[in-house]
Amino acid sequence: MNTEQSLPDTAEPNISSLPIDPVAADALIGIPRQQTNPKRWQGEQWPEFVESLKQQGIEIRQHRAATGNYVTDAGGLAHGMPHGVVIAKDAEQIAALMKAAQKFAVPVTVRGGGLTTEGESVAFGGVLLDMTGMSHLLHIDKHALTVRTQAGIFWHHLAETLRRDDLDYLSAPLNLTSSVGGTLGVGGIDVNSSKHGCSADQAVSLQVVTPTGEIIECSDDENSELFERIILGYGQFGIITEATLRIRHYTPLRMHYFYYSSLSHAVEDLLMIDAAKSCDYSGILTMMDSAITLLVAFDCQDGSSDGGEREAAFMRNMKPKLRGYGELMFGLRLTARFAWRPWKWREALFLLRRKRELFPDLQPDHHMQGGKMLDRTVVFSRAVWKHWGDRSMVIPDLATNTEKFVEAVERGNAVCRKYFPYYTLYCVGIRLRDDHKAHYELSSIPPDAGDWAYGCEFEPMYNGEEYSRDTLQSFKNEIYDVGVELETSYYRFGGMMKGYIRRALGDEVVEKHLKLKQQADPAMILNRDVIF
Amino acid sequence: MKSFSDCYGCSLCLLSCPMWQQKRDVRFSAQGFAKSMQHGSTATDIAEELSACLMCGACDLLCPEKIDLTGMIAAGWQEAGLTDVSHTSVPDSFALSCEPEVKESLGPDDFYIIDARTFHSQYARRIKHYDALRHATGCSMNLDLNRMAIPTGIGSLSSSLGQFDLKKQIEWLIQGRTFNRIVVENPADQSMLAEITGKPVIHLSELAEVTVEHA
Repeated sequence: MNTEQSLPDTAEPNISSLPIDPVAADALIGIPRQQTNPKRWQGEQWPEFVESLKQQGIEIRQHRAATGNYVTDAGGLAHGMPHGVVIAKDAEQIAALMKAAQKFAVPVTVRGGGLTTEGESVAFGGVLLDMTGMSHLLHIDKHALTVRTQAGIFWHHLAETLRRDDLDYLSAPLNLTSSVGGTLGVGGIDVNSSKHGCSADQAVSLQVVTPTGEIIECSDDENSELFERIILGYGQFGIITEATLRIRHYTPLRMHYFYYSSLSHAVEDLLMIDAAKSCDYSGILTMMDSAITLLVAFDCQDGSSDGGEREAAFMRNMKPKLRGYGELMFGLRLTARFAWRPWKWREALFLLRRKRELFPDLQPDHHMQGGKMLDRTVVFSRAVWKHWGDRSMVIPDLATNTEKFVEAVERGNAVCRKYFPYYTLYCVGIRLRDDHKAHYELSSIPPDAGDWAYGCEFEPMYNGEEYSRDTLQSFKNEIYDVGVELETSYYRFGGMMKGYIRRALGDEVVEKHLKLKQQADPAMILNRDVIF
Repeated sequence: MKSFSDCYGCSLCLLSCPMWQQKRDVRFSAQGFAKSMQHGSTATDIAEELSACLMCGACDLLCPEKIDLTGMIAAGWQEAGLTDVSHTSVPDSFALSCEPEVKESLGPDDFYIIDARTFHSQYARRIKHYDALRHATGCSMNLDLNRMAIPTGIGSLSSSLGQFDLKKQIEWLIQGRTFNRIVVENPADQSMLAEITGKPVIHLSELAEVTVEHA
């Protein structure tokens, strides 16, 4: 909000005449500020649009009680209300909605689990299309190991249904309520992405409703250009209504944790074990840069010794090369380190408390059997929500090639240190597919990545402290500025962070995609302000 | 205790919500109720949605804010003049399930239906017992990935009002499961489960008798 416009030039600053700042309680009153949320769409032709939908039998909910459900996203920092909500029923309904939306130039914001953090699934006016209405699994092909599902399904429910047939998805975000469609549009990273790639690369084919309301099936072989744009397309070129995904037989897994006090050592070891393809799951999770955990895990297939052999080979060949410690040795080293630094005892107590709270949740008895984790989907996701979730979350990230990753993590960590006493880093590798390089253009996958891309998320842990929106935004900007300098990409580059897209990925590729977007979506209504 | 105004819409309560599973509409979830009330609805305004709730209590356990969601819904029922028909007659069979005869007579061919409401109300104390029972006997149980009990919905207000499709729920309950016998904790589940599945359905109390007969 630009307060300069509200004040006459000659007027003495009069606090009571200033508009209420809707952004943050501690915003500096009277100081002009940059608007980070998009402007609200003002509702031109809304009555005509609603009438058109009603005539076609499409229910649109306009009551505040209905629209209020969608007031913010998982980030909890962007707030906006749609004029109306449509619950997705089928592709035909969505096609009719999009045709009417084009005709009356009404913005349509598509929402699955609403797990964006930059307001990408928040509607600043217009229609919010709730895809969770289309969340049924349609068909499992046990022979081909594929599943056809409606795209609004949460990964959790997909896992739940697949498990009845002893099957599982390949890779999905560590979050119970991410939707399949939303994930395919942005990537989807799991702790097994260094082996299986991102979730988006598991898609075999998609049913898509285009911004102009055509229903099109697409894959690498059929309408491949559309497929390229939809996968990792941030919802700009169509709405995924159904997806066929590759799946696998369900396996429990066996976890190993290695503890580090050096971030660079941990990251280098992660790169090493990924390059050697020596395990099935790998990632780094930290408590600040004091307690760094390298997580390694193996699928344990019943009746097959494969998982056991890989695990034994890892222990024999890779473990001696790792510079991490076991829990006991690391605990002793950490104690010795903190003992001589009384000014850091507060941090030590925090680490101790987090360990006490977190560790049991990473191996709860009823999700474990014989030392194997039965339900990683649930265990990781619930731990993420319980220990890292908050009412407002900022999770800026850097996505780099292998060569830049150590520097990106260290510089991002320095930014975290500057802003917050408590924070966490989550690092994971993503195996890339040569045949999908075209999918990765204008996405979180950096253009200079080879066989793997790496991502690091930087998340403050508030620990009861209140931080202003300005502080959080400045923190995100500073992380992203590191990315500009290092020429990386970002996972969360849409919504409030879209100002970085051109700087990070360059005008040429942005202009190319803008032209494609204008052709595909003449009224520029689909997921407006996410990218364009 | 936190109230509905503390709900920030994380959707975790949807994951084990039988009402949401059937409707696929966020209005029919604890989150939907909370958000509606945050935006000015009264219980009477959302009486239809409230009446679809089975009061199984899974949402209470999943809510990261620890909001008393079933308390909120019960208050809503009262305000909207809805009667909790399901609350009156649910026997707690937990003690019975701890009897050694139960462990002896359950086997891999059994599908054991835990009563969802009584289980969730004492979850922390009971999950270990059921988990051990499942592992020891090899029987399957009506537990979902969250290790919440999937309710049958039989005898609920929601089903009596036609808001909950029992057949659909039982189809989901048995999907992909192989069993020859069903053992129920809630006697109200017995006849309808037998009718829909075509399998013998016995009450937990009968297991002891079966064990004696086998002996």
